Amino acid sequence: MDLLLLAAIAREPLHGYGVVEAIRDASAGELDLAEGTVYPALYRLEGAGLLSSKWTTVGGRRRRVYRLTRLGRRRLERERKDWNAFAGAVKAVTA
Amino acid sequence: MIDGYLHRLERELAERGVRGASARRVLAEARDHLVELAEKDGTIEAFGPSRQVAAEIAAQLATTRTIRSTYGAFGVLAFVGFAYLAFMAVVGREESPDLFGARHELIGVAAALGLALFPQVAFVAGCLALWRALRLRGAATLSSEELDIIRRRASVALAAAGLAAVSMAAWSLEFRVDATLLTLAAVSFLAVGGGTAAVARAGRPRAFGGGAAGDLFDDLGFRMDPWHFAFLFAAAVAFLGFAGGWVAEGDPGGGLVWATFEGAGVLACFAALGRRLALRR
Repeated sequence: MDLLLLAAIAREPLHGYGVVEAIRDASAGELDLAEGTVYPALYRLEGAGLLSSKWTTVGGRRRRVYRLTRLGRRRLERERKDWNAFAGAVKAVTA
Repeated sequence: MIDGYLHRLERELAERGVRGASARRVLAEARDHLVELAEKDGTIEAFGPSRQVAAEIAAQLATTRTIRSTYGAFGVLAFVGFAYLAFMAVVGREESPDLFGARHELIGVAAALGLALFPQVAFVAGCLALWRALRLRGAATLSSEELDIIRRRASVALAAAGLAAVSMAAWSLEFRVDATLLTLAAVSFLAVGGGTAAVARAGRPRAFGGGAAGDLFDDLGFRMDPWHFAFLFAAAVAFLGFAGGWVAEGDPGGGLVWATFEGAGVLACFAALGRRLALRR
């Protein structure tokens, strides 16, 4: 979950709904998250200093937009590397 | 539809101890999300049941706040530790007063014992709280039982630090009224109050129940009989007390008094606080 959220927000700053949409679109609908449960994960990542957020107004509507911090970018790189190693190993075994 | 959902979510959050600014932020973000969802899908079901969302948010906040308040509590303990060392340095510049020569003998003796005992309890309980918090910091959410143990350790550490500050003030009033000493005691007490409020606030959101929490040996990474461990630890502390007492008092008899006090103190604290601090089950 953390990797998905960080990767989605790394492309561009997003609000909660935007994060869910970005993950759904990038995965061609395969990853369809329970949308309300994205927020606890976002709060946790923000609390860990991996994301920052602020209120903005878009089309007269207030929304909280999340962006990756420098620490978050470093964590994303590490998580990506770990995931690729894991996925490569599973692929090698199951091929 | 959206207002009804938000009303239920607000109620569910409040039932789980999420109120005030935290709840307002969650509700504002949820409203924005639900409006977009309704515009696109004509329904808000994909957001999930309000009960589940509230429970996950409360568990998340409970975990984050407990870990953070424990770091804060340790910062407060470090501050009080420095204040205590400064206090002892000022006190140590003059000859030790007669322990039974205080204005109120009982208070004087209690203050002196408190100055020896409470900082040590604060140090040990604070280290235990910090170690558990650091060990489990990577977990997405922690069970309410684990969080209770961390907060309990931090609370005991802060309470002991508060009593150390009271002992500092009492000692100063009984033996030597000194503005520097009283200021150190007062500032320490205020800092402890701040740390205690943060730990208490961290306990409001309700986390998920997850079974029994680990004990001291889960923290240490090995397992043995808790009382055997307590006796070994007490013996080690008593040995250090003996060495310190011998050096400070200039004779081995003084060292023996210190060793007895330290060793008995460790065992008494283990008996009194063992279960509360999850030193034993």
